[in-house]
Amino acid sequence: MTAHADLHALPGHDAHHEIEIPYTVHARPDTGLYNGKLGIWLFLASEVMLFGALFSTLILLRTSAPTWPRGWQELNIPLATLNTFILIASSVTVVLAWANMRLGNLKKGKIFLFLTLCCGAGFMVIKSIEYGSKFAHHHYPSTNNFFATYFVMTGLHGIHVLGGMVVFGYLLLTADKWYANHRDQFTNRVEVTGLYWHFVDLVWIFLFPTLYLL
Amino acid sequence: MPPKRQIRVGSQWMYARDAQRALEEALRVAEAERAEHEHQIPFIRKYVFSTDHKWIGIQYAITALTFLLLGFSMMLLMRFQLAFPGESMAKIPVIGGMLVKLLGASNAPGGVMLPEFYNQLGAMHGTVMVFLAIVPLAVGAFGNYVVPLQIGAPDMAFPKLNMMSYWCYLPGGFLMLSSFFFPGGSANSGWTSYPPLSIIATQGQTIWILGMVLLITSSLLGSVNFIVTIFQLRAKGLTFMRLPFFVWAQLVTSFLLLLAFPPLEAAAILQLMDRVAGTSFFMPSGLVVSGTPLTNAGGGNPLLWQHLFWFLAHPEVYVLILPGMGIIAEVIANNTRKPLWGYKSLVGAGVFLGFMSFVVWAHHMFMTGMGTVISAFFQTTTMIISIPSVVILTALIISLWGASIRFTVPMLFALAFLPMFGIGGLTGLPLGLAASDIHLHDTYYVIAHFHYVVAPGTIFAMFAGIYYWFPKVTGRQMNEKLGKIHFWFSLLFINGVFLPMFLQGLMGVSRRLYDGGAQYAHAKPIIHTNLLISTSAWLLLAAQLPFIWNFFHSIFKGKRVGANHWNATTLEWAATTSPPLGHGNFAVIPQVYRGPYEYSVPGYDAADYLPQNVPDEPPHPPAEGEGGGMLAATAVAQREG
Amino acid sequence: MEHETHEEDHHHGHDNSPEAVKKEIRKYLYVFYALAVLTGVTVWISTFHLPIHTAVIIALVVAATKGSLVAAFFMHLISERKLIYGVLVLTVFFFGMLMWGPWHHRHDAQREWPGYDLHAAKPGAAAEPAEQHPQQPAPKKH
Repeated sequence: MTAHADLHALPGHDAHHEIEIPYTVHARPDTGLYNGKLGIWLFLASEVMLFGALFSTLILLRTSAPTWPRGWQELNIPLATLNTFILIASSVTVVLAWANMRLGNLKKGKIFLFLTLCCGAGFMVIKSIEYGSKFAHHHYPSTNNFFATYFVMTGLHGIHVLGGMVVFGYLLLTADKWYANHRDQFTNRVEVTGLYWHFVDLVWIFLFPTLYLL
Repeated sequence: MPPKRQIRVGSQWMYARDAQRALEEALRVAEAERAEHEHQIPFIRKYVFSTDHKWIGIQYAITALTFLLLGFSMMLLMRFQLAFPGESMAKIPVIGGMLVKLLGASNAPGGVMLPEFYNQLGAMHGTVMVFLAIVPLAVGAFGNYVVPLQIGAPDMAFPKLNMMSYWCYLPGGFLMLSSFFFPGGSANSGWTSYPPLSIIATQGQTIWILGMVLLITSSLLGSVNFIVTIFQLRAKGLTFMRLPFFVWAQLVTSFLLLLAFPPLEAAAILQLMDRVAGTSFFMPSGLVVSGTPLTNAGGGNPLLWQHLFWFLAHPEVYVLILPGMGIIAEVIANNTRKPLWGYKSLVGAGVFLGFMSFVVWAHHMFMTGMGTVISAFFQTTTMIISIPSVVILTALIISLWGASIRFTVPMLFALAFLPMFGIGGLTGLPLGLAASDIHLHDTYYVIAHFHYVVAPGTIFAMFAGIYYWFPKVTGRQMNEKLGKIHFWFSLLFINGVFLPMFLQGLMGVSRRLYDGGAQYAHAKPIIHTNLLISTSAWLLLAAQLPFIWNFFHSIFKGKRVGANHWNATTLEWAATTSPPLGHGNFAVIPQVYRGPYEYSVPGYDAADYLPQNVPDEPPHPPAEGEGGGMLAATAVAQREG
Repeated sequence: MEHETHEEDHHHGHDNSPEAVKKEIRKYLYVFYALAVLTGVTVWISTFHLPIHTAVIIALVVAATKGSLVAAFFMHLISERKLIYGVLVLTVFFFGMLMWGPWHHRHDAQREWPGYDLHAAKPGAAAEPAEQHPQQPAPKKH
C-alpha cells in the first residue's frame, strides 16, 4: 500500500490550511528573496528603532546629567566580557547549524542548535548573577538613572535572548519531522532565526561597551 | 474455491493479518481524502482563529467600527458637559436616567460629570479613535481584505501572523477599555500621556501603557505582513507602477508603522518603569505634588517622552490619512470612468510624504522652549511636507476634469473628502509655523485642524470604502437612498461640529478645559458656540443611524449584485462575489496586462472599462472566471437594465 | 506539498555543495577569532580609564567594526539583495534622526534652571562648551 503522507501529523502544519503561499521556500526571481527572509529583515529594522530609542534615551540622560558613574565603577566587567564571548560563540554555532543543515547533516545541525541554546542559557545565568549582585548591594532601577538605563537596556536585551531561546527550543523539538518532509523550508526557518539571533548579538556588541566600558 | 485461510477484502483475497492492515490503510486514505475534499474547517479555526485574510479583515472591521462608535460616544458625553457646564445629565431626554446610573457616582455624582471623568473621556476618546478605531479599520480591515485581492494573491504572506495581529489587537482594546472600571478610572493625561502628570496619574495609565504594548505589537506584526505581501505576492505582470494607488498607500503606511512605532514601545516601557518601578526617566528632580516633595531619584527629562512619543505620533497621523487617500483614489477613478490624473505624481508624492513624516515630529513641541535652530529645522520640514499632500489632492481634483461622474454614494463621500481634507490640511499651516503656533498651540484651533483631516477626511474615506467594497464582501448592495441621507446629514453636522472650533481657537480658548473656556474673559464672545457644536455632534450621531441600519440590513436583505458591481478595473473585482474562506481567492490566478485605471480606453468600444487581468486579445470567447467573462456578462446585464 | 528538489546545489543564491559550505565555515571561524580579539582589545583599552570623549570614540569604532563583521558575514549582508539594503539604509537614516532629536536637549537643564551647574565636577568627564541659546519667553507646556 502506498504511504499516504500523513498531513495531520506534521508539527505546525495546519492541515486545514490548503492555500499554498508562493515564495515561502524558494526566492521570488525579481526580489531575490523568500518571504521569511524579507520578513525577518523588516522585523530587525523595527528592532533597530526600538533599541535606538533606548540608546537615544541614554545619550540624552547621560549628556545632561551633572554626574554619571563610569562603567567600571559600578558594573562587573569580567562577567559581562564572558557574556560577550558566550554570545559571539552562539552566533558562530547557529550559523554552523544552518551550514550543516544545508549540507544534509541534520544530526550535526541539531547539535549546533543545541549548543546555541546552551550559550543563550549561559548568558541568562550570568545575567541573573549580575542582577542578583546589584540587588544585593541595593542598586535598583530606581536608584538613579545610571542603573535605570542599565537595567532597562540589558533587561530588554535579555527578553530578546529568551525569545530566541524559545524559538530554538521549538526548532529542536520539531527538527526531525520538519527536516524529513520539508527540508528546505526548515533550513530557511533556521536561517531566519539565526538572523534574529545575530541581531541580538549585534545589540550586545554595542550595549556592552556603552554601559560597561565608558 | 477460495484460497485456504484467506478472506476476501473488496476485490482481493488475502490473509487475515494483511486484511487488518489493508483495512486500516484504506480507512486512513479515506479519512485524508474526506478531510481534503470536504473542507471541514472547525468553527473555531474558520471564524475565531481564522488565518484567512478576508475573514480577519471582517473581524477587524466589526471590532473597529464598534470601537469607533464607543469613542464617538465618549465625545458625545464630553459635549454635554461643554454645552451645559456643571449641569446634570439626568435632564437628557429618554436616556438621561439610564446614563446617570451607568456612569455612577464616582464619575458623575447626581449626573454632573466630574472633571476627573471629563479628563478620562478626553484621553480615551483620542486613544480609542486613533489606535482602536481608525488604524485597525483603515489598515487592519481594508488593508487585509483588499490588498491581497488587488495584487492577485491567494492570501497574505504570513497568514498565521495575520491571525496573531488581530488577537493582539482585540485583547489590547479590551484591556484599554477595562481601565474605566479600575479605581481612579482610565488614563486621564490626554492621549499624549505627557509626564510628569502621567507618571503620577491614577492606575488607569498603567493599563493604558500595557494596552498600548499589545496594540503596537499587533501593528508591527501587521506591517511586516503587508510589506512582504506587496513585494512578494504580486501576480504575474503586476509591476509596481501598475499597482492601484490603494496598494501604494498601504505599502507606505506599513513602512511608517514598522519604523515609527518601536520608539513609542520603548517610551511606553520607560513610562511603565517610572510609574511602577520608581525610575526617573521622565521625572526631573525637585518635583512637588500637592505640597509633598516626590522621593524619586530625579534627573529625568519630560521632553524625552515628548520626542519619543511624537516620533511615532507624527507618522501615525499619516498612517491615519494615507489609506483613506488610497480609497478615495480608487473610488474617484471608478466613478469618473477615466484614469486618475498624474498616477506617477501620486505615487511619488505618497512615498515622499511617508519619508518626510519622520522628520517633522517636533512641530508638536514648538512651545517647549527648545532652541530656535531646532524650531527652524522642524518648521522647514513641516512646510515641505505640505507639498506632497497638495500634490495628491490636486491630482485627485484634476482627475474630475472632463469626467463622466457617477454620483454613487461612495463617490459622494469621495467628493466631500477633497474640500474637507483641503480645509484640514491648509489650517495646519499656521500650526506648522512656529510664530503663529505660539498663539494657536493647545487651543481649539488645533482640535479643529486635526479633526477636519481625520473626521470629514479619513472617516468619510472609510465610509466611501465601506459602500464601495460592500458588494464585493457580501455580494449585496447597500441601499442608495439611505446612503445619501447618511452622507448629506453627516457632511452638514460634521462641519457644524468642527468649523466653530477654529473660531474658538483663534480667540484663544484652550483645549482640554472642563468648562469649555467659560472661566476666561477672552472666551466670552465665542462661548455660546459650545451649544451649537454639541448639538451638531448629537445630530451627527443621529445621522449615523441610517448607516448602521443600512449596513446590517443589507448584509441579509440587500439587493444581490454580481462580482463586478461597479464595473471596475482592479483585480479584486475579478475574484468571485464574496470570495469563500479558506479556498484561495481566484478561480483562475490572474495575470496582469495593463495599469489599474484603464477606463474609457480609446479604441476599445465593448465597454468603458478594461480590467487589468483581461488579455489584450482573448484567443477564445471569454470564459467564466475571467475578467472578460465578467465584462461580457455585465455588458449584457447593463443592456438588459 | 512543496515541490522540493534536494538535488539542487544552488538554493536561492547559496551554493550548497560541500566544498562551498566548508569554505564558508572557515570564513565564519576567522570572523569568530577576529571578534574575540576585538572584544579583548576593547576591554583592555577600557582599563586605561580614558577621558570620556576619547573613550566613546574608540569604543564605538571597535563596536562598529565588530558589528560590521557580524552583519556582513554571519548575517550575509555582504551578499544580500538590494531590497534589504534599501530597507536598512532607510532605517539607519531614521535611526540617526532618533539619536539627534532628544540629544539637543542636553543643555536644557542649565538653561531652564539658572544656578543648576551642569559642569560641576564630573569624575573623568571633559567640560563641554555651553551652547548659547537666546532666552525665549516660553509659556511652559502644561
